[in-house]
Amino acid sequence: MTSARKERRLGKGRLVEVAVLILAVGFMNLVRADQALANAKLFQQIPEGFEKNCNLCHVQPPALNEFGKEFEANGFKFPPLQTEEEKVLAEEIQETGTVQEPLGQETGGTADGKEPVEKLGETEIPVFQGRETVGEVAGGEVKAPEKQQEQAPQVELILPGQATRGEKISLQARVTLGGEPVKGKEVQFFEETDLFGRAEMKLGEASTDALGLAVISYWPRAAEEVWLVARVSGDGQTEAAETRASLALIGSGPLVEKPEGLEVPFLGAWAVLLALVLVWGTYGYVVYSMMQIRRLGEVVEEVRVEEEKKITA
Amino acid sequence: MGISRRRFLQTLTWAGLGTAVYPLLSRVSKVEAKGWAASGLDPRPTGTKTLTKQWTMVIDLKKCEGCVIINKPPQCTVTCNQGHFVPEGQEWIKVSKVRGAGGGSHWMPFPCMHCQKAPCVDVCPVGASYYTEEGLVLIDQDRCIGCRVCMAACPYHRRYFNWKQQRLTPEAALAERSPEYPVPALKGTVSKCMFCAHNVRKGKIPICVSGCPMGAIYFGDLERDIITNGMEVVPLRKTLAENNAFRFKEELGTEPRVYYLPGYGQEFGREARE
Amino acid sequence: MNSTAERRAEMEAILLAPLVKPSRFYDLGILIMAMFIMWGLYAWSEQLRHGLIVTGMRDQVFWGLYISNVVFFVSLSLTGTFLSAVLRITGNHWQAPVTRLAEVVTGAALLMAATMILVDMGRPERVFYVFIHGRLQSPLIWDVMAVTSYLVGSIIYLYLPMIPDIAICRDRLSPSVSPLRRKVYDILALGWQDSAKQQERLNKLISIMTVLIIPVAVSVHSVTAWIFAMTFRPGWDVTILAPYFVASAFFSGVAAIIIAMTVYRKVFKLEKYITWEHYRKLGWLLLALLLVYAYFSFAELLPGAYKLATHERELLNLLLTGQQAFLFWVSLLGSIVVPAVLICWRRTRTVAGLTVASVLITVTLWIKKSYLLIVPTLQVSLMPFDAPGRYHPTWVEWSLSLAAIAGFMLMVALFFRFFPVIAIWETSRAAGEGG
Repeated sequence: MTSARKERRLGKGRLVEVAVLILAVGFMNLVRADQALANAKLFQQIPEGFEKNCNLCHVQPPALNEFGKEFEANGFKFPPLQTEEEKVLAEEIQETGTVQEPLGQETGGTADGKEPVEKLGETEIPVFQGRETVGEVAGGEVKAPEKQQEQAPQVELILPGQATRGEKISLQARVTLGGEPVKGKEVQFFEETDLFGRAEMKLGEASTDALGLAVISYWPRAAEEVWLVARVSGDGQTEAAETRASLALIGSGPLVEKPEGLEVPFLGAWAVLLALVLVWGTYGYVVYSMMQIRRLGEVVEEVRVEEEKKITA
Repeated sequence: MGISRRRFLQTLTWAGLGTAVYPLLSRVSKVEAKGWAASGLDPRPTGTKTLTKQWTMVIDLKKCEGCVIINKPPQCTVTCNQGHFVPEGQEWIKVSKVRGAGGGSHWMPFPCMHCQKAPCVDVCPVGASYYTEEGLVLIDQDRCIGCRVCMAACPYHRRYFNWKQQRLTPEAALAERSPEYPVPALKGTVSKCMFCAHNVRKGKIPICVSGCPMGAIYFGDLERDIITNGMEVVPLRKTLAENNAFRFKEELGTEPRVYYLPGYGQEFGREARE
Repeated sequence: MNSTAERRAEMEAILLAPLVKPSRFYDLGILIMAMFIMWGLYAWSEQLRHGLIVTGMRDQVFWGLYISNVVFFVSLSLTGTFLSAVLRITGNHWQAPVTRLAEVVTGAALLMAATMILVDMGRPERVFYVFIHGRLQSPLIWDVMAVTSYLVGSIIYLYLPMIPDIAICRDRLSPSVSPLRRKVYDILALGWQDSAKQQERLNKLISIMTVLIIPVAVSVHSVTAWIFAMTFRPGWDVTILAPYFVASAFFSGVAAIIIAMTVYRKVFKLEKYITWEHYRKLGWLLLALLLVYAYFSFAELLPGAYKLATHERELLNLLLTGQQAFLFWVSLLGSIVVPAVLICWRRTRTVAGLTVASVLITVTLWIKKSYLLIVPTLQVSLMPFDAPGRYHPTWVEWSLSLAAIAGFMLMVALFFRFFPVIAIWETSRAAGEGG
């Protein structure tokens, strides 16, 4: 073995080569990384469209977890979705009443909104049989069968022709009994709403004055049209009554300012970009100028070679 | 002119073109599609064409007892965890006993506040946390890089990191993940309450609202001034005004969307009032 | 003239020797570091498989050793600027022999900081989202932009004064190295002939970079501070955080250079060129920066300690008398009191003494400015439902941290295996000007 080769075997750079080898072994560890790199599409048995995370079936491929064993045992069909345990738990939730009746589940009503709207969770308003509770026209009075007329009060909603969203209006209702205004009767005002189901929202209540008028302040916020209800409850002598009317709303736009998308107020974006452009522009100039150093050197070389030629010539 | 200058300019041009490829890639590649588009749900917001809803939540502390009197863990938490297959250890709505200044204590649920000026949205480097048109703060787990700056920024500690791959039930595994329904949670990203965006889009009430046996949680629309707890519908601003509503950590300026209606004398506890 | 040429020839001989005939210990050191890195890569593969659950971080203390290392490495990376640029721009030339060491430390530290960030991410395969989907409003993006700019700037600033030295390597070393290395030297030397025009061009470019690199470096550590300062957490929500970071970065940077100087002086036998004079001057510089650091540390804590608002009170309890008290007081002693004594007391103002002081400073600044900055703040809960958080780093975190330090040292060591430690051209120029 020549001395040069011997030197290479023993010292020069040999240890560095070993170090590089060790580093390479280290980097090879990264193939153990997240097995999301593997694609379940490779497994023909998984039905099309069901390729999901490997962790669904595997603890670490190919070892199976509980679900994976069930899936395989079931002939690669998904087992029924709810386990026994979950069924029991679901029943429990029912008992404690945490599953509420969805709102607006009307018992037999058409979808056109002209059927009686029930107030959930409260006792029903006593209604005389045979009497229609809600009229079908806007702004109308309640029609009652003649023979009970003297005992049934009439409620009338007095609304402005239209209102602006968010601005205050006066909601008035007049209660009359047989043509005569009734004083001191409690009138309750409601708005018909459709938030996660149909329901009535109580706006307030007031007593009628000598003219039979009950007034509350109201700031309408609904979209284009709102249906309002005025209701008088029955006491020993008189019946309950109610009426519905609609109010048209105009409004120029949303009343609540809403942040949209990623529009975060930030005045300095242009400043940041300017600073970046300045810094990287200078880098570019420096690098470009630096590349010219070779050229400058060649000029020197050429001059030197020429001068040498002149001397020798 | 010299060869070096031309070569330099050529290299620069190629480098410039090269960097232009990345944004183009993101437009072309379906991988970058936002969550709801990939899920196939209708991207248009609910509500009429003219008015989008502005969601808000009101929690009546007079009614919340931490579910102690029914001798169960807090039901809002339980139903939310089940409805979203929430990874273990996470509670997207958390109910805890809070000591008052006067020595009393009361129970208080803490969902994500969906702040109108959310620190988490401000600091996210890739825009994985974002506002929807209806004011919710959602997380796109297909964009999140898992840096956890949003967790540092949230003053309400309502964000959780998915430290590992959770064990999945079949239902959870087959769910189509979107920012509105982040199921199953992706390992290495963050999760939090999303005001049941998947439900409200379809006109269904959030799970915790219907899950509360006391009806203590109300959910509704700031724009139309209306909230409901699944049992009754009440006007929002009137309720807030009449009940001395407050927002938690108001002084930080995050403008949360969750209002609390305090119990009378709650700082001193109920015993002091009897 | 002769003696200058002789001195120059001697300098070249000494400085170029390690490039062709490295000592066995040096290569052994490289080997050991490679082993640490291999183990660290295994630990990282475990983390990639199972997720960050293998660390000790949880939902309360969600930043731990990894981010501490990021802050530490970024802090270390300000060395190059301080020693090369700030001193140069103020007209000093005595530090010429160590500028290259400083610049390489800077570059290696920045690369390791970037690696640690990658390691800490929950979805590291999405790191390029930061470039494709980056939001300018986010402090993290400012950090990415600043670190990238500083890295590129440092590389340029390292390379420029190295061109003449590579030319010397090309001229003197050609017979003794492999053809590949010869080719590399040739390309990188950019045809340097030591002509007047070339020197003029190079000087101009170095001056431009000297001025530019200082604000870039200051911005790097400021934006790192602002990632923390843009939150509502106690200890982070303070306006002094960015200046505190920059000042303490210069401090720990000088300490790191003293350590590197001592190592290379010994291993490459550079006693003639890195002299006691350098240690003396750097020692006083270290003391001055120590006083600045002590002032900033005190000024950061004082207002919070005076008012004792709820969460600041909890934080101070943790730091001063609670779970982190031991680390806090040890690091305070080790970074301020002991090094001050070592520098001021004549008996300990030696190469060994200064090196010990520097080691103390480097370690305690990692504890105080990186670890104790991040973990105690996260332990304090801002909400009534959390008890104070706990954090115990696991073997994965320790392995990766050690691997990062090993990686840093490996990069420096490998660099100086192929390029001279001392800037020959610059030093002889400075010596020539000095007389």
